[in-house]
Amino acid sequence: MPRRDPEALLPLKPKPFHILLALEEGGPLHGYAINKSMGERSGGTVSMDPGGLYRLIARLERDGLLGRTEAPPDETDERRQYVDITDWGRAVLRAEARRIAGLAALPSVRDLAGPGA
Amino acid sequence: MSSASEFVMRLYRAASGLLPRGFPDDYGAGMEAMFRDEWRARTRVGRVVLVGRAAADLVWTAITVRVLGTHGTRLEGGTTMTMWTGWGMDLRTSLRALARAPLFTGSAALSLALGFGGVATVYALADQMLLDPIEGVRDADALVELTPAGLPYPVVQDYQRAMRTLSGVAAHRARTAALELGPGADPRPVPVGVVSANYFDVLGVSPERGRLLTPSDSLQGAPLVAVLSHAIWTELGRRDDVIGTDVRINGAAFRVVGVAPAGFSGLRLWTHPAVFIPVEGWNAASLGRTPTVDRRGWGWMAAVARLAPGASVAAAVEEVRDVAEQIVTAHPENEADLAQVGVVPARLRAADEAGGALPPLLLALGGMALLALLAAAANVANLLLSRATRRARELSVRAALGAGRARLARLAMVEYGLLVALGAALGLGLSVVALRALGAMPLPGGIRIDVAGFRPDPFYLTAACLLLLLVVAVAGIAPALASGRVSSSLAMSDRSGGGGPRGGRLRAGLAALQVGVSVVLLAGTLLFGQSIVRALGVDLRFTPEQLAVVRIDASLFRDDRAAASSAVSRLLEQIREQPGVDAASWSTVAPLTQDRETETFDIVGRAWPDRRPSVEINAVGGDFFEASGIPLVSGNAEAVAGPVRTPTVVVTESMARRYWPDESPVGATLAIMARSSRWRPWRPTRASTDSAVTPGRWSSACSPPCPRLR
Repeated sequence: MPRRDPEALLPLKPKPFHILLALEEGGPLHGYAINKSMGERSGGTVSMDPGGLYRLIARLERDGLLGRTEAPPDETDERRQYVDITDWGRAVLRAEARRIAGLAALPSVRDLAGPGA
Repeated sequence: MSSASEFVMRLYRAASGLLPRGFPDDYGAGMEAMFRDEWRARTRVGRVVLVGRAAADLVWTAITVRVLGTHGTRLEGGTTMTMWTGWGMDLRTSLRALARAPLFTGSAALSLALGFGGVATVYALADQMLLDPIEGVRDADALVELTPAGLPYPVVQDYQRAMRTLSGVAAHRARTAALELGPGADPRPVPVGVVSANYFDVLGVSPERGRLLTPSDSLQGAPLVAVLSHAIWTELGRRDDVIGTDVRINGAAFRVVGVAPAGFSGLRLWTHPAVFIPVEGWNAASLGRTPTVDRRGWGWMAAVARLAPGASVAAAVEEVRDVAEQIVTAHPENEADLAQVGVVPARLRAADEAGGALPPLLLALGGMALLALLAAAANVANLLLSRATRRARELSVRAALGAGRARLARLAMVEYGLLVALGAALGLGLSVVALRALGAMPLPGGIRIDVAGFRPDPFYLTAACLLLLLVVAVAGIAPALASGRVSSSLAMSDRSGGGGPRGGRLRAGLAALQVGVSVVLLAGTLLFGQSIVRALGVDLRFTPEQLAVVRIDASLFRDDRAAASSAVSRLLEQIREQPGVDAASWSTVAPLTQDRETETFDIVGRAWPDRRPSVEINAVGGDFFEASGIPLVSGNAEAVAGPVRTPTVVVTESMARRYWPDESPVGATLAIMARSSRWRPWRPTRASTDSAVTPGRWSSACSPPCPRLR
């Protein structure tokens, strides 16, 4: 398999970024848990409906950033579909995190954001 | 889980069927589980919001996944194939495909053109006759007209002084008069706008040149002034030196003080005044027929008004009624004029001064045009589906070669978009031709429909285009999407045609819709035809086929009333000498036209419980009944033939039934306010034993009784 460059997929849009971040921190997760995690982390500004979320999951799965996984043994609802971040997804997420951190470290960005940021 | 929640879950599962095949198999369970979790986490109100959002989410997901896949197809090098690339190729492919199927292209475009043309024509008529007929004025929506239309000029002035919900009340009326544009120019009959001095002010019209009318123009002894219409000014070469020259109206000289702006042509769709003069000026131009315009007994003016800021039509109606009562208290002779007062939006009076006849007619025409468009759309949709069935193999091959559903759908969209454009262009042409043909059509009552200058309206053209695009999008793209599911092995075999059971059901549904709409249209057309046949078959009790009517404009004789009278007499004599002419006479109202003259009357010796009644009236010359062939049912035929000796009244059967239900009207004496006299209340016109009765129905739509006076 040819070596791929995660930078080629950057920048990530906020929703894919939040999905990958939720999976990285708490994965594997099902749709509702991902949405809840995104909502908590973004202070309620990022929220998705099932169709939109699963359309995005389908795209991320097709691009290899996440994959289906087995439900944990304690799961009682068999219809819940669990996904988890892949190594490739983790590499892309890290690249995006570095990009954001680099931006945030810029003095002019800090000045623009103000003292409370 | 409660049964309600279970029901909602089942509903969600069923609605997931909207999603393209494959997507629910992969993610449907997860979506449903997430929806259930969201449902459980919310309260009652939140659940209602959730259901609404879920519905919108499913529809949007279905559309985007169908058209774009999950998010476009990623190509090598990081570029993305989206719905915005490759349009030029699709356009060329579509043009070739349409050119290869001329029969299909021709029939579909013709169907679309007929439906589109019908809608564009009827809605252009409706728009210009009802919705937006008044042009060139400020804020036409705030203009209202007082009803009834025939108000004495002093009454309009009373309203102007008293009304608070109306910021201004102006009088207007178009009268035909002979206009001479310069010394030695031939007089020609034109509509003259006889208007109050505040008319342009109330309408919010600014002059193109010079000035418009001002209150000083209506003062006693003020010089006679006129404002030219933009059309007449254009005829004169748009010269600035026209201001200050004289034009003659019925022989009287009027000084031109200004020019009305382009686009303003009065408040009536059928009558565009060539020149505007103050009401007071009409005394000089009325050929001596009208002693003075400020008679309280002559209801001849229409009143236009502007709603005061913040005032409603309902408030204006209330106030108009109150003011009318005050006017009647002060001037009891105006009781009949102000029996039923009201206020209507001015736009409703532009094409139909009497009011009431146009809206239902246009509604019916609009409904039929929409049905025709629906039938055309169903027809085209069926043609598209049949074509898709025939092209299933081609589409399957494209799919097998790698074209996704989105690409096939887009190809179909381009092709059918071109078809709609072709149909719309043809329909627009049809609409222009139809509107011109309507303009050239002679209408009863001498209405010149071409004066209105009908033209297709861009708003309705765009709306009809969008509707047609929607229809072809649904009918054209669905088969393309379906064909994307056909496997490549099928594509290479001969079993690829058919379109499947869903396509068959759609076609059957469309055919049923087409037949249903066609039946409704056919039934409507038959009923309409039957109504016309019945109208033509009405027993008029006389034979209009042998009648010829000549219109004479007495205003062309300028102010010489005696000359007009003797010219008419000479004309009648010459007509009588023509071979094949049995008899000739004159009347102020020709039979079977829309012309009307109405007067109040009294039956001498009878007391009325309420106010005196009014009837349509027609002043006729000797031999009128012989010339028209209208027979007398009873009475003295000798008395109504030959030269006029004594005033004689002939009443119709319907009037006889209404006012003399148990006796003969012959011998009764009527008192009629004769139009040509000065206001003298109830000058009796004797009708003693000379009275006679004619059959009804010899006026075109004579719902009230029609006495005839000579």
